[in-house]
Amino acid sequence: MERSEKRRHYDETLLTVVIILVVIGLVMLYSTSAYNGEVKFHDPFYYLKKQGFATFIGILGMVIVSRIDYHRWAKLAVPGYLAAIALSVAVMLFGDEYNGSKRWLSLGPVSFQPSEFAKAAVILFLACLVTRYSKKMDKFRTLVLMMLPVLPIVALVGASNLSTAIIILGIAVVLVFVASPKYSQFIWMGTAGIAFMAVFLAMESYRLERLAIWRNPEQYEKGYQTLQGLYAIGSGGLFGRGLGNSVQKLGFLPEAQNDMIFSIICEELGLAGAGIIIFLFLLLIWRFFVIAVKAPDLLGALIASGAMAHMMIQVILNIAVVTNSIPNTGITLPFISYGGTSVVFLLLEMGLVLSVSRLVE
Amino acid sequence: MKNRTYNKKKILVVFICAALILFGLIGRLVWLMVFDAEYYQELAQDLHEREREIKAARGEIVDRNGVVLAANRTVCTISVIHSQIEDEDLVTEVLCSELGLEESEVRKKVEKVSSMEKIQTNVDKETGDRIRKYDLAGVKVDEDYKRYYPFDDLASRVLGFTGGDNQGIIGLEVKYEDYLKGTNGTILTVTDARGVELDGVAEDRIEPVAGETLQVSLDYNMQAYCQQVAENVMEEKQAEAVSILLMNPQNGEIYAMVNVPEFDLNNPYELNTGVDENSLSDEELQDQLNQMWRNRCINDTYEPGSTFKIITASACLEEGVVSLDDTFVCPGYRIVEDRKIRCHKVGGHGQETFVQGIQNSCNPVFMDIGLRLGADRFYDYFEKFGLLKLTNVDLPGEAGTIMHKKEDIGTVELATMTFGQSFQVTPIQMAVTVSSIINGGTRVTPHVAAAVLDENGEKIETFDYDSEKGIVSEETSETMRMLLESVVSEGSGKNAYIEGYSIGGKTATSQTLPRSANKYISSFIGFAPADDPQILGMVIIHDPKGVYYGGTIAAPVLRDIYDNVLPYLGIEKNQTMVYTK
Repeated sequence: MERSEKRRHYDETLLTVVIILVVIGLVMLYSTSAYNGEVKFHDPFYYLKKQGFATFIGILGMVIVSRIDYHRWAKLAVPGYLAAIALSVAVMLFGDEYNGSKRWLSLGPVSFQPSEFAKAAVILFLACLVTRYSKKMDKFRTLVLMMLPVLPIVALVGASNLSTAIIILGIAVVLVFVASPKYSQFIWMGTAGIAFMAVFLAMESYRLERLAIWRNPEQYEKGYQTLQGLYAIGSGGLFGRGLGNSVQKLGFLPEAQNDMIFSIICEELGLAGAGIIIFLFLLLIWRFFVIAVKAPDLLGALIASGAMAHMMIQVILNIAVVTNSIPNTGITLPFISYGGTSVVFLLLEMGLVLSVSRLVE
Repeated sequence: MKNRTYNKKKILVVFICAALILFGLIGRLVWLMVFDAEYYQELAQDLHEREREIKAARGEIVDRNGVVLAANRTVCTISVIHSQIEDEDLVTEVLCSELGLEESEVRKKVEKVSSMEKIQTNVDKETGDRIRKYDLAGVKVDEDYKRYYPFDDLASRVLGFTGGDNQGIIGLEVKYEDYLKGTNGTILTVTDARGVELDGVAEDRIEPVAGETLQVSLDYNMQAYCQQVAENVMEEKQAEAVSILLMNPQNGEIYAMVNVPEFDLNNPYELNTGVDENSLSDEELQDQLNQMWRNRCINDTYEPGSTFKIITASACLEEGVVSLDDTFVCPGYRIVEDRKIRCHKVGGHGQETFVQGIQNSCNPVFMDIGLRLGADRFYDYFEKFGLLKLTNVDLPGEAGTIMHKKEDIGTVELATMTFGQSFQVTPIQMAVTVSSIINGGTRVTPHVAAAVLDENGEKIETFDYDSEKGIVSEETSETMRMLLESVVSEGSGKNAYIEGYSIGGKTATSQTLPRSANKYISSFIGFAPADDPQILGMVIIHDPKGVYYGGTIAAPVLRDIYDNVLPYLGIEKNQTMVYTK
């Protein structure tokens, strides 16, 4: 009886924010990609059509997933995890190369990005795993054990897509952090992580070059994209040039519909528009937080936390890259950047969180 | 498993971290979009904007009465922008038929993937308008100005012509470039990364400022008439060239400056000799074009011959070494040092007064008075009259006088110089020097440009020219006017005589160098009315065939011109003949 009462208790705010972001995403994607679509495919709607199709599939999936009790997915956690590994291996072997990286698997007319699937799979898998060992989470050994299964995926994905690997690692760390009652271990881990990053960066000179480009994008040819993004942001001012009026998207900023789409939003909608979008993401993360806190059990809390971690890491890294606050790395802006697989799995994740929200006390 | 309190706390920690970082990023955005905005906007604008020049219309050149001598014609440049073309076949077809071009050639340009491809330039406006009416996507018709000379070859070397960028090349066009050229405007358009202009984005436009109108002292009617007369005499005498100069001796205004054969200003790179340009090497062609563009009145020097006797006489009168009543004997030659220098009259003029000597243009008389003056004083007068300086006519490329060094002038040189040989001056130099002698002693600056007018024809600037007074005394000037009037009424210049007018003048026949070529220059300088000269004319016939005496062939040309020009200038006949008894 209790359940039937809560049946209609979707988190409506979350759903509304997701829908608004999806709509804004499609509008901005069209605005940004029309020129490139016209130039490359003689079809201004080229990107919009593909994204629209993926969004449709994603929303359908979201609705279905949200209606299913999330506990039933626990069975799929391990197969999902194995599938993510298998797909990551497959993409290394049979993947399509685009812009120099093998990230896509072609299945007939549909191309699929396994790393996006891997994010969702890791959230589910780790949530289940951590829930099972939650009583031992205060031990450092358990923490390491929890992290170990994630590492193969991180390594496989990281081979072609370092940014996504970092996101997956980040999600894993947040999940373990949330499940553990302690803090000090994480401070040590954080310190170790920073040290590891420093060594990792210093190992390859091109990574150090990235740092140099980050500091002075004007002086490097490879700083072109960053600089063009900054031009777009700076051109926006308070209220922007108006929707559709970006000049930077006209070939100046290459592939404007991808990672750097936020800079075009800044150019067209100004600080006001960009601020609203960041605010919407914050709202979204806040809802994840609320759902996670109110979740009936640890599994629900961890699923919501995982989604929150995913969302916040991606939004923060993307905007930080676009504003040249950190060195350039290819991370898409959830719901807005072009990418069908990303949208589908994000929406499925939203469905999962919505399903948790139904059971909120 | 339960969602414990410490789990919730940790979730809160994560959320707070996320929120803080996001607020930090908003702060970063504010920094970029508010404080750094100007910097990035400027850079972005530089990146997006393309500057396109709008040519300014060149100022017109009008004659003293406002007749337009140099104007502008609107021409069009037709180009195609590949990315905007919708129907390649239609575009190709229309352009071919309207412009009369080969289909394959147009098609190649239409199909070429480039930001902009020029199909044809200098297309006349009507064709451009017709093409524009088709309203074809991707076809651009840009208007432009091209210099146009309504009278083709009229005063070609005076006006000059312009080059591809509408810049002056010779003549007034180059001399007054700064007034005529105007200021080009610019269109700042926003383009995409491929350089294609964006529609609907406001373009910044700086309007061009048309050049100012140059009013010149030339008179279309006089210029055209003189050209016609010159062409006639050139043909009649099968001369190499004929130059005619009409000017106001009181203020230096040039009314007409003709050098036939003229060349067509609308086709300045076509030779006026009828030689096929293709048969010449580039260098030869350029040489011949440079020759064709020369203004003989200014750019070339010649031995003035007997017209120079005006100057010798003035110097001697001024210095008092001769008076009108002095008598001379001409046996047909003079022995100077070891040389026998002939008079043009082989048998000699016998005994004659100075007045008769000048009427007869007798060389021995002038040798005598020149030797009385001596080389030093002769040279000083030469200098005082301004013959060693340029006239500073406002046309480019004025040639200087070719003269002996003062210390090199021996008796023989002095003797030949008295009748205008062994040195060279430009025709304009002769005209100006004679003007200063007959106008009371004021050396004027000859000039063509009179004023600068704005687009409504209002004067913005009037040009002032220097003049130098006291070249000769008023007395000498009056004597010279009287003497030269008598040359026309009674002496060697009688072929320039017109019943009812008092005309002063002097003829000349000079042999060009090398003497062995037996080529002559016949010339005549004349002015009217003789007592108060309002117009001074000079006719120079280069290498006439048959009779070559200036008095016989050049004087009648000026008479013909004066017969028409004097009434045109409002100088009436039958004024009191001051000097004629």
